[in-house]
Amino acid sequence: MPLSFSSWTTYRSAIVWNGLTNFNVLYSQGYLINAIWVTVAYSVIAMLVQNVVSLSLAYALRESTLLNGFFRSVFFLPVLISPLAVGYIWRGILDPAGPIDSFISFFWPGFNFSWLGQTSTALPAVAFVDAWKWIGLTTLVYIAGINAVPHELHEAARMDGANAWKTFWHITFPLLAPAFTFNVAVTLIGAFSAYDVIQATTGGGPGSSTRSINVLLRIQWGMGNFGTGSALGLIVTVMVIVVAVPLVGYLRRREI
Amino acid sequence: MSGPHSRRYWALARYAGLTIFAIPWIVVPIWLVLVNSFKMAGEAAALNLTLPSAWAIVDNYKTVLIQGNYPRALTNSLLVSIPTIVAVVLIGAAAAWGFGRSRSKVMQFGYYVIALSILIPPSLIPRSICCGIYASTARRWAIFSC
Repeated sequence: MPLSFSSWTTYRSAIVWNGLTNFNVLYSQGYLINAIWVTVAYSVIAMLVQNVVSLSLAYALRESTLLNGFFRSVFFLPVLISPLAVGYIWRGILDPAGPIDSFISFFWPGFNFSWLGQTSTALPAVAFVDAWKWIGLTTLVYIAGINAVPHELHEAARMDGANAWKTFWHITFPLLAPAFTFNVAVTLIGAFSAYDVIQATTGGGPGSSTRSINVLLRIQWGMGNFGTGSALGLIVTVMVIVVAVPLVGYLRRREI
Repeated sequence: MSGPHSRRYWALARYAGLTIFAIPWIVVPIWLVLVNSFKMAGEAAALNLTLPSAWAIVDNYKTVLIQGNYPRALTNSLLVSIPTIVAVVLIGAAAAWGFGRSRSKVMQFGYYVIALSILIPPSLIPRSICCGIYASTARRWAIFSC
């Protein structure tokens, strides 16, 4: 960690303490603010997509039947694919010549959109891919959480005339708080240090629109600027701690 | 309204919905992985859903297995993952029991110190096996005691 404050490059023989210069260099080159913004936006999108989809899936697959078991394993498959392979597959799917655009142009002839090639859609698209990969895992946690809710409570709610939607919002969801805390924290923290999926899909581009802190770290590292690289590593750590500790504290308080 | 008939109908609707959802969500991406592993390099680079015009199943997998030295890579992976899992399960279960049962302040503080290691991004952890095991152990500890 002290390396974050040193001038350590391949162009010098000694590692010298240089205070905050690394942070200053990154800031004045305009890299730092962009990377922080990208990382935060990426994490929030990935966290939202992942939790919404996996909570719905978990609710649909909550009962342990044979058929549900089959569907659970099917939706778990992406977790098992290596992140780099996931990136390459989705680069193919999101390509202007890929399946998504061909499907849309079936209804809307001539539709041709480069999801990963536009600065406006590249970041949400990559965040979605990351969420896609990890949804199976969060679904499992939610299923376990839903099944831990006492059955009597559902029966009581039904007796009182609550419909399925109301039962979910007023009984299942509040009692799901521990699973919710865990999933939100883990997805957010995981996405903060996102690297492999971004590297395989866009490599940080187009321009710098998907250049998260960790991608920037590898770029700096690759150029031999180990000092600034270490500085970025420290920034990720600090960001994660600053966000995660209050978040987990807050979410824990709403657990019953 | 909630007779056996409508319940049957809902179950059917749910599985129909899940199947329709699973096709673009899972089937297409997995198909893409599978079918492209059967193609020659040039065709595979284009990454599409069509069947290969020239099949290269044997060649592709032979290259991976022999030139890529797959058995060695697999051994390496197992050498890392098996000790990690053993350590995680043994130490993690024991630690979770301790942290869960004890009410002492020291133990609580200790738990937070260990939980903090989940927050450190992997890129910051020095590349030594010891630290690798330590980090992944701590990660599971948190899951155990959640």
